[in-house]
Amino acid sequence: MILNLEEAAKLLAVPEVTIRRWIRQGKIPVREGRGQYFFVKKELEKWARTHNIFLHRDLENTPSQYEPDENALHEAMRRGGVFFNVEGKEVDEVLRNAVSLCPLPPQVDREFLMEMLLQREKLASTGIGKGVAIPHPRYPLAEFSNEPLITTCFLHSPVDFHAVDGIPVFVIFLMLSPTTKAHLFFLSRLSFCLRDQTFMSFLKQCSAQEELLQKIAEMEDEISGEKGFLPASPGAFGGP
Amino acid sequence: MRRLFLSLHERLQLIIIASFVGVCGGLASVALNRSLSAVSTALQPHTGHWYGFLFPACGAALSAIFLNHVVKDIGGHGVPEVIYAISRRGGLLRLRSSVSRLVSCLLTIASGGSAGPEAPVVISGGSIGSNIASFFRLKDRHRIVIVGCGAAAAIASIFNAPVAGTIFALEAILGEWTPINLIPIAISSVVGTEVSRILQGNQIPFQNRVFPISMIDLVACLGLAGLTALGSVTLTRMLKVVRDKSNTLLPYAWVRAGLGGLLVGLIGLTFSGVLGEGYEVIRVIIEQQYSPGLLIIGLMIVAKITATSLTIGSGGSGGIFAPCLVIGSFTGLFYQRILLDLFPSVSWAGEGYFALLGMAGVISSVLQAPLTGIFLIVEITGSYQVLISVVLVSMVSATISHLFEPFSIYHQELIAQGELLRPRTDRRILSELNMVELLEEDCHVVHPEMRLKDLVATVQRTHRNYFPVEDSKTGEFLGMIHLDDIRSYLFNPYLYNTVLVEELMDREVPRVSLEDDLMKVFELFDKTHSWSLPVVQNRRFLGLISKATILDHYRKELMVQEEI
Amino acid sequence: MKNQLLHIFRNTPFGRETLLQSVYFCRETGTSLVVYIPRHPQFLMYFQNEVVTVDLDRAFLRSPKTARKHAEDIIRGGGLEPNFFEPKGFTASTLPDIPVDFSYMCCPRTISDLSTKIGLGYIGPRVRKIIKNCTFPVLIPTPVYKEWKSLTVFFGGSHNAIQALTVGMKVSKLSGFPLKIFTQAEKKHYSYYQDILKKNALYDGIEKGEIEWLFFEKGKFRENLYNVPHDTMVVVGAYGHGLIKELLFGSMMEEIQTILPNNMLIVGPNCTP
Repeated sequence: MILNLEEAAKLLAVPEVTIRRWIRQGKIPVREGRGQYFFVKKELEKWARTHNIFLHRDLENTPSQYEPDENALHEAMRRGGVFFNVEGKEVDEVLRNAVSLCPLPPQVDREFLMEMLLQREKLASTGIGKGVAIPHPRYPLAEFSNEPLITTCFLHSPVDFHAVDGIPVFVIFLMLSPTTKAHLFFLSRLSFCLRDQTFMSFLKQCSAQEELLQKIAEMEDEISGEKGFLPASPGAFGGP
Repeated sequence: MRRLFLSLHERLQLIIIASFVGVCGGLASVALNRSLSAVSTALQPHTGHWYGFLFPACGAALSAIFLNHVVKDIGGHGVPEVIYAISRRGGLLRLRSSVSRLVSCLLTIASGGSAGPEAPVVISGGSIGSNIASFFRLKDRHRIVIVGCGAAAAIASIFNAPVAGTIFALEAILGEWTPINLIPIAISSVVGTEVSRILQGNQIPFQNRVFPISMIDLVACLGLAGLTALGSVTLTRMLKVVRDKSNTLLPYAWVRAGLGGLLVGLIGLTFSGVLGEGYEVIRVIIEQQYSPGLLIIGLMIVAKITATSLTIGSGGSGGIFAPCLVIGSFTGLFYQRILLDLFPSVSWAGEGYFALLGMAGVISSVLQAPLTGIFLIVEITGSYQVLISVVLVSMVSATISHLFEPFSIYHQELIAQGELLRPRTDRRILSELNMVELLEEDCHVVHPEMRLKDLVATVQRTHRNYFPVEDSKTGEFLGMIHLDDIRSYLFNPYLYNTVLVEELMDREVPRVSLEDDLMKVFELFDKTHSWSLPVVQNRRFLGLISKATILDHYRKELMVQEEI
Repeated sequence: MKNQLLHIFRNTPFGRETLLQSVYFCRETGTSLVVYIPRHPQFLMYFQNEVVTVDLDRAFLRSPKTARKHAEDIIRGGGLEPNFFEPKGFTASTLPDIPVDFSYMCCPRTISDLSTKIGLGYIGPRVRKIIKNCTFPVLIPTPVYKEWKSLTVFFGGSHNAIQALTVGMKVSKLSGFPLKIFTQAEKKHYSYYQDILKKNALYDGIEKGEIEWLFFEKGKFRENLYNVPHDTMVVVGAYGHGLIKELLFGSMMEEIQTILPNNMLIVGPNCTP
């Protein structure tokens, strides 16, 4: 595989000026042709290995880390699914039902997930008030899913989640994120929605999946529109 | 042809070019040697006349005119230029230097100037090497080695001393020993020697007898080392004085050189032995045929030191090797005579032995390169039996003179300018890194009329701690905002709409420009205790430079330099 | 902002005209001007593969006392801030090194020879060496100050011509002046040149009508050159072919610089726009 100057600079994570200087100084293996420089990827990799230089593998198609974008929230909610009339009288029971509804890949150990969720509840309730709870595992774990999932469960009857304001919970959002960054991102987006009075009253009478997702998408457009007070903009995740 | 060559492995390439450069370097020094003896023979009949003392003056003036006005190759002695090119400019040397110094040196020495032919052949060999390397499109790292090859070949062939050539190139010119430069340089050195042997015959320049060396001689050596150190420090200091004085007093190069030459000629009227490179005198001394007494010898040392300082310090073209050898041999002789007078009953190893040690001592001290001194003396005299004494004198003498003159005359100038950058040193790496490479341009610019509220929004969006403030109309850089300074206001919503960026920013923030030296930038970092500094050019903000990025690049630079 | 043009100031009326030209270029393209007032008769430029010694014409060193003031007046008169370059590296105490990482350099047609030689068709050997080695385009101004209102790039299809076109586009974008492309077809069809432009993503401007393409299939090159406007800056690649080929057949640059009295921006073979 042949790389040009720009790609080599990216692979080695140094500016092009530096690569040009290294070429001039003869520190880096390079080929010349028609006034331009080329690098053979194998040679470059070997060279980097012998010199202990870390390579940025962006050029290859290795699975990159999940990066939330502008429509991330409602996409995650679509992946997680929306369920109505979920049974359960106790926190454990509700969570068990929610986990079983969650569309996880077959290899995932649901019992383990359940345990992680309960551990988190033990530390502090995920009931954030106004009848909403956001259960999630203690640590963001990529093994549950590479892409974030949010499973929405409207409960058959409100359950006491020991929430901060004591109001029984009528809806839970089960959040599974691969990274801490993604987790915080969804948390801040969701809380932005839940702060909205009209959204809350809509949530209380919501009865169809599409209806909810539509509303979320609208809210998300609104957030992206006013960049100024974005709790966590997508750009912030891309930084070095 | 060139393409075929370029497909070879890099070490093979280097070796082939090195041998080619060896041939050229050898030829250059043979040419200089031959023409030196030819011109000297031609001038021989006239030196006895009354006007003979004018020769050095004419020669030096002509050489200065030739350098400055004919080939327009202004520069110093040569060797510092080679070292500068290697440490700072990737070994690039001008093509004209390959011939110009040879001619000017011929004029200076053949007319009687007190200097040697080594520095000119070093720059000539180096320049030939550099241009050949450029022809084959070698990169800096390899070009440097080839320049070293040229220098090694030149020294090796002029002294018929391959090992001394190799070691000189590594010790004094390149300053590092690695397999990648050792092999080509050794090869080129051998080839250069062989060229001179084919053309001039394999002569040991100063053949000597076998000396009966006893334990007491070895002890006596130590005293000699002190004397040679003294001699070399005097020479180094005098050179400096003459150079500085003549540069400030006389503006025209040819007047300077001419006057220097005239004084040398006058000295030569009394002490004819100081004129020229002086190899004849050394030969006489080594063969133990030099008869004058202690006082004359002492005066000869002083005269030679003065003449050499005048010739080279006034801008004459020539090297320091040969004069050092002459001074050394006289010093050795001087010491031996003193010993004889003090301890007449002891049977000393002979005049030749001490002369030889004296040479080693002086050359090691003046060049601050003891290994070069040791091997040069051993090779040009062909006497390995004196090795122990030579090592002893060289090392002790170099150590003593180091106390007074820590740097060799080749390096002094460069060190004064801060341009002696040996490989793998901090200064070298900093000098190679360029400000443009370190510039962080992903900064968020704020404007002075923005309110704190807007600033908070900007802070939320970015991962930076420093925010440059620019005038929104002219784009002029006004100051910086550092998060640490304003942290207390950030969480005070009452101020969000009342405080302006203008009131928060630091207007007196120290700034750097793209041309600044990284050494300077680091000094500024230390002085201000800051982690990032703004780079400002023509009152415009270009980016930030921060310690963290520099460390990253610095480390990469070190890793890249490793030879494997 | 980071673009810099190096100008070596000659303190003579002729030098004033060239400096005025540099000032105009910098003002129009938003480039910052760096002026070097020589104090030594030579300087060195260390390029990637060669070191070029520039011997300066004596006029460069004449009346050093007034030089700085003259230069400042001219630059301020053109609405720019004077910015003088002080050499930092010295190969020898009287031999300064000039860095080679500028974005442009202004060279009169000759820098070492007396200015009496200056005329059409003559470019001094030092200037040629600089062009051959440098990584930046070289501005060769007219002997008398003349403003230019457009850019004309000579495009013959070679690698170097593509570089020249890239430079031309950059300058046109910076200055806002319109760009023209001049092509004299050499036994090849229109589509051949079109393909080259398309391949290098340079055809957009022509398609949109922002760039005018003067394409000549007939007539002699020398005659067609009359169509180049008088107030245009000529951008041309130099040494596009091998040296021998150029000696035998002549090069486009030579013909252009012999015939056109315009300001020229020459893009050397090592140029990286």
